[in-house]
Amino acid sequence: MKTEHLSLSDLTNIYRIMLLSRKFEEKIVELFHSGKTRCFTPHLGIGEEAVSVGAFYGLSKQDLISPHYRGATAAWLVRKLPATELMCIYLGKKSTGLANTMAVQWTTNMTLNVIGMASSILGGGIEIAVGAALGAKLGKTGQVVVNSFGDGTTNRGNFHEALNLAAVFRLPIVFVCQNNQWAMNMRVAKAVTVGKISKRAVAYGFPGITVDGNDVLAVHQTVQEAVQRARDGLGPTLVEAVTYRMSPHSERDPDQYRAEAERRKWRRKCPILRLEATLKAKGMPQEELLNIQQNAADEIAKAVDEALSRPDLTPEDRLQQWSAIYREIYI
Amino acid sequence: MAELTFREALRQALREEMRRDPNVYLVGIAIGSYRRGGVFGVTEGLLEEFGEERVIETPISEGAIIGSSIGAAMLGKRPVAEIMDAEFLVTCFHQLVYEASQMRFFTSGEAKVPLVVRTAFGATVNAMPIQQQSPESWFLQSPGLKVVMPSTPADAKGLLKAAIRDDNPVLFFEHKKLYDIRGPVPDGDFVIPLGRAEVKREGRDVTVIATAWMVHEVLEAARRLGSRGIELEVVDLRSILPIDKKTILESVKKTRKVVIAHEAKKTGGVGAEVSALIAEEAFEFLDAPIIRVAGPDLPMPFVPSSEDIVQAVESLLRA
Repeated sequence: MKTEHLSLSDLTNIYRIMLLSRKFEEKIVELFHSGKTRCFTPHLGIGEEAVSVGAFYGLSKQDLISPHYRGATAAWLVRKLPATELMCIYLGKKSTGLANTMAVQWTTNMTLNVIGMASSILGGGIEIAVGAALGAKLGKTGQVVVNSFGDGTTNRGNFHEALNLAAVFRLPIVFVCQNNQWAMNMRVAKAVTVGKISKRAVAYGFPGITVDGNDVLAVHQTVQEAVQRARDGLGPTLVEAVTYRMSPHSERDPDQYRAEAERRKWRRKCPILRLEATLKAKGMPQEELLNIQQNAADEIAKAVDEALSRPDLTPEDRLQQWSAIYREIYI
Repeated sequence: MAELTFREALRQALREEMRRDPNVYLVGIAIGSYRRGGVFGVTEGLLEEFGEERVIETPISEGAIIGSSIGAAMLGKRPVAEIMDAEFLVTCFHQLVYEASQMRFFTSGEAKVPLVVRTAFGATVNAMPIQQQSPESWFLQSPGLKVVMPSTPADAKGLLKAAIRDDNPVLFFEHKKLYDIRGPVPDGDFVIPLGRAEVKREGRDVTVIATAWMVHEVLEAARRLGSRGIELEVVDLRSILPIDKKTILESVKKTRKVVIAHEAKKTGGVGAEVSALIAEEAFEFLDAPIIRVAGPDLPMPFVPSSEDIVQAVESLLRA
């Protein structure tokens, strides 16, 4: 792992966020299967943390991010959304802070400059992110947009329309394809004939780069270079980060279509263990690593406790809230 | 007050709003240098006045036009997108009915999408099956959107200005047969609030509720019937989302007989919604069943005419 571009405190922070995301999502699995969640079936990104964290870490607060639904947990944690608030969305509880306004975990939060979808239609977020980049360019705000999506989404028409539009307008945006090699039960090789998804950038005349998506520092460095390019007015880049979906497609997916051996092989490539090895090599004492791990576990346990102590967000609450918005719109 | 065509009135609204607010920009396919400013000529001269940063021509990518306009609008821009023909709305249906309409709800009001989508619709040639559609009622199931259908040059100007100033996504349907009609248009900052119908002609005998071009067919029918002593009250909906219940019900209570006329197919058209509304809220005032004069449930447009409206009124009066 190349680490020259990051300080030890950045490396530690990246490690901490990845761990938090992992522990958060492992907790969601447990809560979902014990019937304690009240949300859309979780679609988790366990094992894919390096992509979100690497892509979204180190931007300015004004820069906009637009994360893929799978990996949104890590993206929110990068943007410092407290774990308790995100937990409230999964547990169907009233949040009192920054997540208060969010109906689902992959939507928009203007305070945190996160631009997301108001549906679950893949590719919609890419177009909206392109629009945010257009808005930034027209307004000469200097903001850059980093948008991530899955390999499956690159087969949708709006991916192609959006990338072409971004190219012809030379918009300040970085596209990050989180290629986890599976779209539900379809292997990426059966859905894409060009081999590397980054090759698709050729069609739009901007650079496409494939990077090891389990190497958080490689993802980070590649995206940061693309961000600089975007900031310099040189237009978009497509970064393909190749990772592996350790989670089933969703928590309702029995995941019977792939061999255990394949999962086992990728478990050994765990992005968190890899960063841990790097930190050790840099001289971080075992004791400090254990300390970070314990703190992350404590933080998630506390988030669950706090979220569970919040009042339920009932269907009546939502109905009242949305009816009030309806009245604001039409009256 | 100037005499303008519907097209000129729209252009005046766009120009005035673009001069007033630097965040307003136009985006679409062939809206700048093509012919005389777009296929229908509405945006003529605006590229010259405002430049390429505010009259943005795009590739043929309606989904990306609307999707990206949503993102820009969320950042405080006020895009006015043109979808050349309403037939093409299907290619950005997702972006309109889920992303644009729901964003404000999904963020509890935090994110607003001040977007206007102008589109040309309606039949110019009866029974020609291409680019003649009236798909406005598809959007009635999308709370969060507003849907506007002007019928006169003055309404075109006043409603378009209101649409651009609205903080919500507004679909603005321009009937192609209206572009060349002339009428008086108030000068200066003339804005008509969205969601209000207008009684275009007062009458005591039958209420006829209509939209866009059909308003003119109804007015023609009213002239013919008027010479025979039958007085139609003509209600122009102007907005179909939201629908101006108050104006409709007041007229129904006065005349007690209702015809609803639109070019769109009968099943699930705006007329179905208006009929249901009247049945729910003013049933006891009706002297006869409501009659809908609409296109048949067939792929091609077969557009009702003033003659169809005359016949509907006559059958209602015989009942």
